[in-house]
Amino acid sequence: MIIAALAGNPNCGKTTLFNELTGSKQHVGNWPGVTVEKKEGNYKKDNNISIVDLPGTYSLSPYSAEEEIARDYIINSKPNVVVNIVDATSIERNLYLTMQIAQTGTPMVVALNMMDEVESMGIDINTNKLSEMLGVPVVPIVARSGKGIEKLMAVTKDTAQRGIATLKQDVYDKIKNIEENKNDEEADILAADMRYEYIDKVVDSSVFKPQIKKLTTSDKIDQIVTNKVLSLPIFAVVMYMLFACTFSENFLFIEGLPSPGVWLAGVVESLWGSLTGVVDAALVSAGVSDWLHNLVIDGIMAGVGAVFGFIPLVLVLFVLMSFLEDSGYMARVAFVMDRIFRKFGLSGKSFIPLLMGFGCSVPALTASRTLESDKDRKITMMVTPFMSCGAKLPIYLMFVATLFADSNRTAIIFSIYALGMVMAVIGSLLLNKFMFKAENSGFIMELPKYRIPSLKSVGIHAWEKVKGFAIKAGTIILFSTILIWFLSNFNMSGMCDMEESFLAIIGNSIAWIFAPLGFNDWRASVGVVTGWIAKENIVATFGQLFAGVTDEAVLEAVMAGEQGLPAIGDVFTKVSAFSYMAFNLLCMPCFAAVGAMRREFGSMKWTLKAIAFQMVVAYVVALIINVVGNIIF
Amino acid sequence: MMPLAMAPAGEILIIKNLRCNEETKKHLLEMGFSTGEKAEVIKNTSSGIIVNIKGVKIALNRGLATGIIVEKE
Repeated sequence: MIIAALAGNPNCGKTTLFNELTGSKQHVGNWPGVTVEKKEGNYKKDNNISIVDLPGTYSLSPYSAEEEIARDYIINSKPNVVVNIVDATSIERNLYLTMQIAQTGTPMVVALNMMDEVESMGIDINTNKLSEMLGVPVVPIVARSGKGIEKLMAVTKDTAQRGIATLKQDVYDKIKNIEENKNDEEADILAADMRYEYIDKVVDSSVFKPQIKKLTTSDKIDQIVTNKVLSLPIFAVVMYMLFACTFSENFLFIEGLPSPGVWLAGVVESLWGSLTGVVDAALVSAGVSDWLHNLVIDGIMAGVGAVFGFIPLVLVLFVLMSFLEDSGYMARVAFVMDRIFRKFGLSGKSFIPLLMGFGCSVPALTASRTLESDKDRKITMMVTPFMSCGAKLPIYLMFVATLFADSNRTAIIFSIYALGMVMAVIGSLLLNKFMFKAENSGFIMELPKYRIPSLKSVGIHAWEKVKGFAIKAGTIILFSTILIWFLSNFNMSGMCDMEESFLAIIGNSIAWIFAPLGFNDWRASVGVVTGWIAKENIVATFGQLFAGVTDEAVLEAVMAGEQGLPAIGDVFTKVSAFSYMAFNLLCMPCFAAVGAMRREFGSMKWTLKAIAFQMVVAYVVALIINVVGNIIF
Repeated sequence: MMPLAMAPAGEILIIKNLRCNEETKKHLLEMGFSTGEKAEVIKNTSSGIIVNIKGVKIALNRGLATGIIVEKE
């Protein structure tokens, strides 16, 4: 068995090569922007060669978490051979990593990628000379078309079997000596200079560039999309299209035309509905007991169905996001937005997750992976749920229809959305000041050349994301649904009405917590709890608990704000209703989002910290609303 | 000698010195900002600077660009 590790700069075509080598089946979740974990697969033409895809890195010195993964793997796990992918269009910068890998003494092969682009730029590379100067085999390839890949693998296998280290050991030893003998920080910089000095020599003698430089298409596009005046309007249009394709009920302003996302969601929902019907009939004909029927249909099928219902939205959103990321446009957006977001203690790269938060926190939290600064990423994830997601809207509509019927409804709803945005800004400022001591990292980002993404790679990206989302969010949703179903249907003496259930007991016992916020009522506290399963659940809970409404059609009318629930007026005032909306907006998001947080933080401790932060913010804001509101009104 | 942040678009400059903390300095080096290297300013806006260095376009915010000392070719 030969283990070959793929290493290279971000955007050098590493993932494309990995897919080409292993076949898409072995692909285990690559996220545009950052490959956080390493991935493994077998070479499809020779199962004895195992391919490990390492995160894209600029160097082996640990600057970020990804670089550390790559370095630790090469040094500690000792692969038989490293295949270093070098983007031939920016060979000088790419060779820096090559020099560092060579220095580790691991047998290596350089795969000189994007040779087609190099040729069209009129650049001529003498690969024999390059190989001789670097002391390692160099194989020219075009990863996208698969050209040169068989030869690359033959050379890789040969190198691994012979186990030869680099030939130009003298050069690497010299650099190593400097690093080891001088232990001040200057040594690293001196070593870096020496590497570049040698790279200059290598490039001078093996790469021949034409003298005349012409403006490339990428340059021309950049002149427009990073233009002072045009950049923001262009971005607004692109984002609007992204959301319209995913969430719009009136796509392209055509009344009643569903967007691809909404259409697909409808299809999945109706399929799930039929499946539920089949299961229902099967259970009835099997003569199972009431509680089991109730658990399967109202608990499991309804709960899991809620997740499946929004998978199509996530899929469409991610296909489009992957397309934008693969094209290279997102890097420009991050650059343009950075100045504004820096003021809030965030990075330009935080913008995408926050914007996506208006749709759904789950994909938004996942999108935060593109942030490479750990601090920026954590803060972004902690405040993303403050952006009011689609599922929270029915809550506002319900209250507005009942309690604010005489006020400007749009203004009330808009003020809740605005509150979320303001709290995201204040929250990140506070987190920056008190929780994260690290200084603001500067913004530095490579702007890759624009490329038309291949449908295959976009499809794979999107599918992998959706799959992971469905599995992980599905498990946590399933578990919580069963739990809440149990709590709301049972008490110590067995099955019972909801008013006497464990949930009611719990609701009563925690109601005092919310008393200072203005809603000291067990049904309101139960609403908060069921809201954690899915925020729109609050409306269903209220319908059931306040008015005995279980009819789908009535609930839908309430959710759409077309009909009020007058019974709510007995418990809530305008002030406490606003406080309740604010609390549910800001407090812990639904379990699906918590699952996403858990996955993205990669740590339970940080997930709990984030939840605690959101809870405290929600409580304080709702308290202020209640106290100040009662003084004014 | 001037900070990169002051350089107008179209100018070709030579990197002279990096005035920032060691970690940032190392990262800048890895991204190609070595002393003596030529960099072409593509854009200089209020958002930051875009330079072409070693055949790669790099975007920097003004803070980082202020710490990169350059000289006209």
